[in-house]
Amino acid sequence: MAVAPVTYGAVTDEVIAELKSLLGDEYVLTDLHERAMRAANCAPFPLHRWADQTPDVVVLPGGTDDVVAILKLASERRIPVTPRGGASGLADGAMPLRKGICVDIKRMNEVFEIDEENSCVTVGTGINPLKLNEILEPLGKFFPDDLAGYANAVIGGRIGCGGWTLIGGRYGHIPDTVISMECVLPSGEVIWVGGGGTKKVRKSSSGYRLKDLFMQHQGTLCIVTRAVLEMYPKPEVEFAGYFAFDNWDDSYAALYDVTTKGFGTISSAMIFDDRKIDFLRRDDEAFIPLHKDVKFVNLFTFYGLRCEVEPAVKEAFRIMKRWGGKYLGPEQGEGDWASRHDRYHLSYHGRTPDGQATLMSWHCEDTAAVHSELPALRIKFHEIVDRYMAEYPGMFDDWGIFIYTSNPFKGWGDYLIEIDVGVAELQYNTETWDAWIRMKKEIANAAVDHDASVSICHGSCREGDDDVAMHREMSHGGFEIMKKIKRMIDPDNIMNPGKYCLDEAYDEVSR
Amino acid sequence: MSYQLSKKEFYAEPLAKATGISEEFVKEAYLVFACRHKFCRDICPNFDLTRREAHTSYGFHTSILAVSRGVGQLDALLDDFTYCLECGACELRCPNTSMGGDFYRRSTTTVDMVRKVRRDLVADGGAIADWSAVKEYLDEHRGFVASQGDLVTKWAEGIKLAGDMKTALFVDFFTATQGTEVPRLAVQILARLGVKVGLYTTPGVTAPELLSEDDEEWKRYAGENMESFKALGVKTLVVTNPHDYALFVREYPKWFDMGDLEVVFVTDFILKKMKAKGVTPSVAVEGQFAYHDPCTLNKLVVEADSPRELIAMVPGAEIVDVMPGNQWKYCCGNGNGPYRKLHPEMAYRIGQKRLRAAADLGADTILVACPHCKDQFTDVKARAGLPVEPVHVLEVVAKAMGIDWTTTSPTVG
Repeated sequence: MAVAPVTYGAVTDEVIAELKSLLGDEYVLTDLHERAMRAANCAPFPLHRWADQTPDVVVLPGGTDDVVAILKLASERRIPVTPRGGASGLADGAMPLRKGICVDIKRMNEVFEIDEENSCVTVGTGINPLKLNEILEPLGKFFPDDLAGYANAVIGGRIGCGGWTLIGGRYGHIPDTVISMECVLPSGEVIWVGGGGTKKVRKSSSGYRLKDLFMQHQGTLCIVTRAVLEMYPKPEVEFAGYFAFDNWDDSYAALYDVTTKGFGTISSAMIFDDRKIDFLRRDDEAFIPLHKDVKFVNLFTFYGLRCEVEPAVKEAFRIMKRWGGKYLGPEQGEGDWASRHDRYHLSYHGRTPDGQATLMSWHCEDTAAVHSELPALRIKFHEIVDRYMAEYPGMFDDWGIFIYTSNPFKGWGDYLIEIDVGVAELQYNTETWDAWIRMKKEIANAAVDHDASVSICHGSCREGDDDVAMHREMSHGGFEIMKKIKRMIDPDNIMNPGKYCLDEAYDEVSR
Repeated sequence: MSYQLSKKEFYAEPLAKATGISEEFVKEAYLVFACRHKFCRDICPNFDLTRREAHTSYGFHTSILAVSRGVGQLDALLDDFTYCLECGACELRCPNTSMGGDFYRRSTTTVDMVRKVRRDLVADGGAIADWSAVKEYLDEHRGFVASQGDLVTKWAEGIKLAGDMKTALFVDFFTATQGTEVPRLAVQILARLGVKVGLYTTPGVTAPELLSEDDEEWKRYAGENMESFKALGVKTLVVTNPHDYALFVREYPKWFDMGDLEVVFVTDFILKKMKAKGVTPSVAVEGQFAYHDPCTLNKLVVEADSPRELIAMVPGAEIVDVMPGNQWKYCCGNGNGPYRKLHPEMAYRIGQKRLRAAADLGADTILVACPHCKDQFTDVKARAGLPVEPVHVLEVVAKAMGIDWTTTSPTVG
């Protein structure tokens, strides 16, 4: 079946009036500054072309019915729609590349049901995980979504990027902790998809597991309006231990040993590499001072019942000691782990190599790799960033590498390896922005060269990443199927157009 | 006094359409924009109600940055900048403050910034809808000043105060006219403790609303106060309204040499004297009490202990409140500026939410340490019909000390 090339409808005064009649005047925002602030999210932003990505109108639906009405209108008029959650993502999922209607879901923040007996909670997807946990806390329960954006992300955005959590080794990540969800398709049709056949059943073998299709779609397929989430008992004990190493090999071996031991309560294990430690040393506010011999730091965390965690921690200490790791004490553990959501994004923590404060924005390129590829990737990522630093002095800076466990419910296997890059964002112009995109693309290609995924944490729908993710990582037939699915669900390409190279789904058919 | 956020010299440079936004102000706006944590968002009581991102610290700073990049107009921002309670929650929650703060002179100062933008845009020809209500309130303050002390001391009729001004009570217009129980109780509790206080009778216009209108006028009154304190030999200033106290802690040191003047909030002062004298209230006051932290104490100057300690001393009082850090998201709805006068319905809904939270904890009384909170909660309770009575902390303390402030006229000095 041939599909005509998409010509988008304009957001006219008539459309605005119709939106106002559907939602009420106060939830349809047309002021330029209201729209402008919804052009950016957490990733480095091309300040020099801000207006190009500013939506034509912002709407704040109050629930599923509102979303249905918005999408029906957008479909009828062929107007691009970009869903926007907390805008805490680093892959520009919430950035409206084709302008149109920005659907800000943050008003949909109700808690519809807390089902203690079945350990789940049903929420509107505009709720923030911290706020949700404030509500669950008196029950001794929590939703184990522990991310850098813990205080500002919302569940809908977390679903949109298939969110990763710091403690996923114990509790799983968003694809695991979302049991089912309500999706509004571009046509306005409302469906529920889950791991099992029903809203609260986690696992069944009946039919198709459609939940996964609508996970990490970055708003290209639907708007998720409600979700049933796992509700865990709050851990009795949280232990974070930091260990110093003087060389990579021992640090890497210790990580392997502690994650393959088979601990049931290990929530995360990670490495701060030598460049990361060097960076943190430049800024005495950002890290507890470490002795000059400390080159690498390993961290592990254990969450669970005291009777499980205490013996596990003792054994983990033995493993660290065997590889020469030196325990850095409870201050490091409690201080750094407690501020894990706050401290790494601050612009004035940017430092020149000689320690002078410089205004830079933090960005991380996160990839998912198996254990055996980590050493080579670490070297390659640094080489790439070093090259761009040399070419554009003062524009980019290597802020080091983190390596985290990322396999849900277990410590071994695959890892998040991210390189943090300082960017002098206020100085962006066409040339430096293009250089930034080239750097990202090189990092993404290096990952795929090592059978790694372009992203574990934030998604790969940004310029520089999307091409590599769709045309290389998904080159074994997956992208071809995805284009067919996209055309079927979204025949007019109104859902977050321009992302994930999915415009190609329409171009090629028209050809 | 315990807390002072960055004084930013570039705030003195006028913001105007013709001159644009200074480079320093762009950097300031960028620091919040670039943080991207947006922790300032969900902690904001206004955002909690409306989910309107433009009315948060992130929104204010991002709008300024966008205008600096040619996206939007300065004068179009004025209305948005009225949707700030000036409660300071966003400043505390901002990693720029908590993870470095004044070490870098880069604490986030949203309250100052919002006041500056309002002030400058109005000076540049802008107009704020319903500002007449604020103007009227400020004119009442000016009338209070013109009364040359009569209105200041009216609340103290029948109360003999010390002639010595070494320790002076600072009572502003609002407290002297609408929160009279606070200074009357403070004087009587202190009298019971054998402490002499004089009354400072020329406080000027102290309302923070003036900082959004004419900061030079505010500074003139403040400067006169500093001179008077010196002339009168005031060593310790006991402040009854936390809105004033926050200004003494955050604003005065930016502009004046505080010397050896000790400025202390009334509950801190009373608690200190009770401990020094070894006095413990003995009359039981039964009740389920929640304590509402005033934004001006808990957020703007980060002081939350003395009201709680005083309540804990009261026999029979059961406290069912939540921790101060968990109250950053609360506000009574009055705010620390013109918010309630400009947005009364929103103010009501914010207050209703806070009062309902106290009711949900099983409280029958919400204790406050701020006359504005009490005034706001009294209105909210009446309208919402919630079964939680707003009461000032000093009322409970006085009762527990056997003081009937409605009939007793103490003699001090």
